[in-house]
Amino acid sequence: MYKGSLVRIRHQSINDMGKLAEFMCSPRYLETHGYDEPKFAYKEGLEKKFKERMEKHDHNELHMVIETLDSKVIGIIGINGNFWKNGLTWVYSYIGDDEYLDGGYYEEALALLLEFLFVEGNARKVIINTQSNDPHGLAACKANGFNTEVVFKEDVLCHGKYIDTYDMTVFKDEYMKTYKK
Amino acid sequence: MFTGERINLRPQKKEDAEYIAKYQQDEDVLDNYFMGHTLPPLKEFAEHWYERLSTKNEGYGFVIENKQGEFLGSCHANGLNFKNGTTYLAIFIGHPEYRSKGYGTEAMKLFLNFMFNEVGLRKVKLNVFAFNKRAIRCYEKSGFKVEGICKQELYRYGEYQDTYAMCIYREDFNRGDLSCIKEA
Repeated sequence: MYKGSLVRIRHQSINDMGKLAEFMCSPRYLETHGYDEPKFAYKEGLEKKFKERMEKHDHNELHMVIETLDSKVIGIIGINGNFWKNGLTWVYSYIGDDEYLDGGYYEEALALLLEFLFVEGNARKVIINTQSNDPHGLAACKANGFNTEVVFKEDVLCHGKYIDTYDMTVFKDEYMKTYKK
Repeated sequence: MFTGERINLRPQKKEDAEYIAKYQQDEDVLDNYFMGHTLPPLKEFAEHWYERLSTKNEGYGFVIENKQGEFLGSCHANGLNFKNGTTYLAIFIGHPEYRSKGYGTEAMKLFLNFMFNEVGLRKVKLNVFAFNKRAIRCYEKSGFKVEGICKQELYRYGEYQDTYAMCIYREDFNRGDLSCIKEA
């Protein structure tokens, strides 16, 4: 069970799509996902994608929600892609509910994902892309041992300026040194 | 626009799949070009790629040829992002006799000139394997700078190898030596 003292992570269900659409339409989401052009997400559109994913059943992707222990959905987390040959796993994480940005929810959700990937999922190198205008995301990654590998300077447009993004990575070897259970 | 001193660029055509497949099966290209495995790709893959290029219009595919029209290699832009003004590029010189002689650098300049000054992009990015010294030299000569080192990013020759993330900005490109580019 991927459950910590504050949050748990679980598979997305089709019933979560309304909440997710709400998260993905917020200005903070659009600002911190600068690689995509600003696009609104709709419940129906996400439900359609969800069904397509169920059909496709691709083991290289995994999409989950972050919820509090009393089952309130506060964010999304998961795997965008996985390259078995090179041992690379690309992940994402986002807290949609502003009330839970501070207080260790973000950190713990990411810690649960890393535990899942390294202890259960046989990942070797986990990569996350973050932006310089996302202090909460950056702090959560740093707290979980992610190191900045590439600084993509002036890479995405935000509020009329080009801002930096970072590829941050953590290796299994490093992670297992600190893993206790 | 696509005319250089010793080479020309031209948009990729359907018939080029044969040459692209032939040279992508070359051991040198296989080792240095593909993030994936090094099982030689089929001609069908190149045809499929052309199909996507021609119908979905999601990138730019060029053939590099000499003044006699001989196929030397190919370069293409993928992951175009008009919002951010960025793209990734990939390039290979397949014809063995045309390697290490500056043809790649010339092709790169023509390609970048098109991307920056016609398409209107701002930043062009690429990834190169750390052991591919010949390519790194070409990119540095073309004005690319290393943005970061991706540690143990690629599995090849039985171990994990580093790759470099490199990029070039429009202003830096336009300040460089562009004398090989012939305007129409």
